[in-house]
Amino acid sequence: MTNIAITAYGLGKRFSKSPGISIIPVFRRQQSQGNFWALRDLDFEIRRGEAVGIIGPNGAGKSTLLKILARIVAPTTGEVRIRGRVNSLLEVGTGFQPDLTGRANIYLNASILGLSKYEVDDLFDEIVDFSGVAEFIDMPVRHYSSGMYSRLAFAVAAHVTGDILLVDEVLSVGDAEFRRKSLSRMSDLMAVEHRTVLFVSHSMDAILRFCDRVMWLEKGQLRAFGSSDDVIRDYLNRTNAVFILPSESQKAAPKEAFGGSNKHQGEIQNAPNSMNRVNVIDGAEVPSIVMIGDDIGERDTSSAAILQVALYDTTENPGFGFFRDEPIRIDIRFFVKNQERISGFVAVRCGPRKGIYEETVVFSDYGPSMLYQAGTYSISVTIPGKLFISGTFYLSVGLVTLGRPMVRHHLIKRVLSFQIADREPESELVSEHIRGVVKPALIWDTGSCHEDRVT
Amino acid sequence: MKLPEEIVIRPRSRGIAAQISEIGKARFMLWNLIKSAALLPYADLALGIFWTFARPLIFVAVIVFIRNKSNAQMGETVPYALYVFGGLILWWYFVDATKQSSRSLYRYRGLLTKVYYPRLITPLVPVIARLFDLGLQLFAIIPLMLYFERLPNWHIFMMPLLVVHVAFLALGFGFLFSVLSAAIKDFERMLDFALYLAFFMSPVIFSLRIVPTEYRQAYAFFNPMVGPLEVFRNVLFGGESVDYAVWGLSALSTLFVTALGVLIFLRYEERLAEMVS
Repeated sequence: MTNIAITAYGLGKRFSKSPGISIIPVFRRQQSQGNFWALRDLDFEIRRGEAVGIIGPNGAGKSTLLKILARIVAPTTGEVRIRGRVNSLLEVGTGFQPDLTGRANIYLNASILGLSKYEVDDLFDEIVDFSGVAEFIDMPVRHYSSGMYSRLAFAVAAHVTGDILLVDEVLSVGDAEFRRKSLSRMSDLMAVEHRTVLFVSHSMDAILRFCDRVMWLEKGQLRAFGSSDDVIRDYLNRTNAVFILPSESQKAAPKEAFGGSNKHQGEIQNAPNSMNRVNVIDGAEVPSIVMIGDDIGERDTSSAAILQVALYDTTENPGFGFFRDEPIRIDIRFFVKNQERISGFVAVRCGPRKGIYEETVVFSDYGPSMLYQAGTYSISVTIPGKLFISGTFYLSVGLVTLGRPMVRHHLIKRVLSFQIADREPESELVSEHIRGVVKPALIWDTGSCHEDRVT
Repeated sequence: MKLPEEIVIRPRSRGIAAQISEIGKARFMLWNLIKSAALLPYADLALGIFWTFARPLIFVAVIVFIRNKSNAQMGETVPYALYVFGGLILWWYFVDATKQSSRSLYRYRGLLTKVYYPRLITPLVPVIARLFDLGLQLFAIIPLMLYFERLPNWHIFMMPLLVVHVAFLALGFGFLFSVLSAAIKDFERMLDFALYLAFFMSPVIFSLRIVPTEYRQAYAFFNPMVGPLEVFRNVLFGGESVDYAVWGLSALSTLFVTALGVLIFLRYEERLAEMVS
């Protein structure tokens, strides 16, 4: 029992949309309307020293769970037992007063987070050092730049750590240098000091990097809780089950469909409103093979047509979530009406991201020409591993007859989207500095010494 | 290895006794919050402490002018300027503390929605912090007391008790209205207006002596500021006797208000973070 840090059973939280006061009968009626369960029947155990990632779509209850563990909101049902002091990086900058000096704010903030005067005295120099605002420490923080302000705030939060640390995507605060510092501070706390960590994030890369196990919440319920690789693969497959395809009428404005934002989540969720949906079948709840309807894509002829498209990982399971280091096999099943010489076509695009302001083609390629008789066939093409950086990509496929002019039998732009997540541990320190959309496995040689200067 | 203490989180898990004992553990936090709340009003003012003296002096000058021109009977026992000044010190402490305490949940919503701490602290902070202003104003009145040669006698030892009485009253209203206005904003408006009216309905610029004798005790019970205001000036300006009956009745209703406030506050304590967010 002693190695269990957190136990929860039957945990539930019901929010009422108008938290009125029931001593006044007039408001009682309003109160009962619009209740919803943010969390329902959660049972789990978290071991001491374990790093657990929490993933799930917006509104799944991730933040509510952290708030219950931090004792900010009380559960409606169930019970949680926690061994150890809980601190969270939800608390960055809590209670900061703009008119007080940096010094006073450190004391105020740290005391709010539960430190005694002596503990703050001990940590003070370290906090100031970490924040990098030493020369302004006796100046009111309202004169600080927003970068300095958040550095100071994070410095306090990062040094006030109990046995259990709750982190809710705060690591995006501040500039890149600061972010690097924060991430390494977090991994220090995990690796060196063996803190128990609960980490909510939308970044699968960060979760894979830091967490041993992952909790997948959906609609307030625990959908999966297991090893990071397994749960994240399932999760990525699940979240890509909505396919996007521009219909003829929307071709004129493809940019709108993908938006100017670089929030991949948003793109995918918004897309179906303006795009045709492709029928998806798989029997199970996770559809993973895209069936192509008659009205989908551009057709110059009717002599060949794509029937279905699927992506396979190394375990031969169809899906839409892949790790960066594994190859991806694209399977195109198609139908040929009359004898025809045909080449497959594939292209991968990516949406806007750091340094890239609009949708971009990552690569495109045509396969070798083959003569097909009437019938149904498959073309497979494998994209080698270690090519994409992590993120969302869109696949286009086609069937053509090469020549001048080229005959496009069937061309489907953005037939599906897929996610790449990075689980290579060495990418931790560089990932945020990487530009571009591909990261091929370059061969680095650092071993030679040319002169004997070393001595 | 020593095992850390186990925390159990359940619906309705925090009892009153547990909460009060937690305040003790959070005393460094309480102290820091009080310190910043006390000094903050002075931090960004160019004239800073000047206002502490200017506000009552200007106010007293206006009131004295009106009274002298109208020749109204206010029933004061010491020179009228001194009398009004003394009343204002205590009244303004009460009003500022009550208002800020009632807004404390909103003011500290950043804390409430981000950290766990004994919630009872929240309305307590402004009530203690505003004592700093009260202290400063007591210094401001000293020159006036010397000028009119009205100095306190041994009754001055009752002063802390009077201040505690008013602090409890402000805290009671603070507990009550902070929860009410967190749920329904109208209560904040209502309180502002009530406090504005209460200024004219409390013996600040007049004395209890102009109230007919038979109504005095009822008045003191239904307006719990009556007792403290009367006794405060009696004590401050070296009055001969203290009206314990009036004070006691006010203390009784103060106790009711405070108890009601604490009960309501604790009833909703677990949901406060949701109510303000």
